Amino acid sequence: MRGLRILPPALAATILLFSSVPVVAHHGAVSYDITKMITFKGTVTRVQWMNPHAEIEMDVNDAAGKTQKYTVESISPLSLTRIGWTQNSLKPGDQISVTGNLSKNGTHIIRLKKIVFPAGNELTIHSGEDYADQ
Amino acid sequence: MRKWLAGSAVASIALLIVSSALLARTAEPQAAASGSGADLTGVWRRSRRPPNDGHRYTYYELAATLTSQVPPMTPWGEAKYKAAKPNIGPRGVPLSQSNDPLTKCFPPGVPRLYLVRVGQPLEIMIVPGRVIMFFEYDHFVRQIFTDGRQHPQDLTPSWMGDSIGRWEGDTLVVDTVGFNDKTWLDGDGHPHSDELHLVERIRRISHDTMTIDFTIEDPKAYTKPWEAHTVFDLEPGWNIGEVVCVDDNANFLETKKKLESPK
Repeated sequence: MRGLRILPPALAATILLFSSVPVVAHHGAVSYDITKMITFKGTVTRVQWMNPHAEIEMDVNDAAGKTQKYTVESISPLSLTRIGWTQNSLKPGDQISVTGNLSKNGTHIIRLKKIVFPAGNELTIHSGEDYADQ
Repeated sequence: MRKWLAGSAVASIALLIVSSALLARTAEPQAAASGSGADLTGVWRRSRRPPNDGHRYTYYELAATLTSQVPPMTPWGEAKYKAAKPNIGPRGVPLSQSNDPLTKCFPPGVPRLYLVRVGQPLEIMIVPGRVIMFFEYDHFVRQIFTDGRQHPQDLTPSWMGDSIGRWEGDTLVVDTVGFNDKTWLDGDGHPHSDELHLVERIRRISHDTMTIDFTIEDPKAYTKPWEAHTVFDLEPGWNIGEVVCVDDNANFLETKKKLESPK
């Protein structure tokens, strides 16, 4: 069983920029910056297994070593279980990497595109999954 | 010697009959020429592969619009389209500012039910005299009467319309009228009136693929009928799950407020 882990002090946020072409390929994402993808590594603090978006709260160390809180918005639990992610797949303390679109207004909300689980396995949300606002 | 030959001939013929029967059972489903409709049975999800017409559609075009080639609208239609404020796509506004009836959990109607939440499937079930479509989104149900009846004379306009169907070979042809005008045709806000006459040609083109070809006729909103083509993939092993729009809206309220708060 995973317990709480102590973060290495030097852990820093990793930011990767991809160009996303074409911009209109994304849906319902008016509040997110869909022109680029961003990647963060951090620690799960809470999992909310709820509709319409399962939410993962995580702590991310920024470049200055300060802990920033982020909320990762995923697709619905129903859709997640269809692609192999169950309500027990993540627990507080898990080390994950998430890639997605960041909210435009500085509220630290990420619409998930890809996650790397603690064991190293990856899951990508493909276009056509049911982000609830279509 | 002869008896032995006769015996083995009978055995060979029996073997041939049995093996051809076995082959028939494991072969691809035959076209439902008799109109039984069994071929449409299954759980289907909107395919994410672009239609094969030389134009590579974006996800938005697959999920939020019926076609990239909408014909000219009437002045009535244009006014309605301009007034529509969708939540998605190039005309999209934040959720709180959208007047998309779907954001308040009103029924999507038809054909929009096929577009809503592309990841979510529908199940087709055949019962005597009806084809039932059971949608995961808010558990909407369409019943298409295949018992030969006509549309009732004095239809009360409804969200889902009145659907009758007939078989033309292996194609189920569905005719729907009697819509109210409270729904959008698609996520981009293309309008329709209560004169909408929708024809669907539904066909299972292979074991794993079903197509629906739409003809949309609405002289109040569009200057001529127009067509759209959608593709569905079979999802074997899936069952229709539960999606409750009002619950989704309530759960998302806090996050929505955060997302839409000023910088």
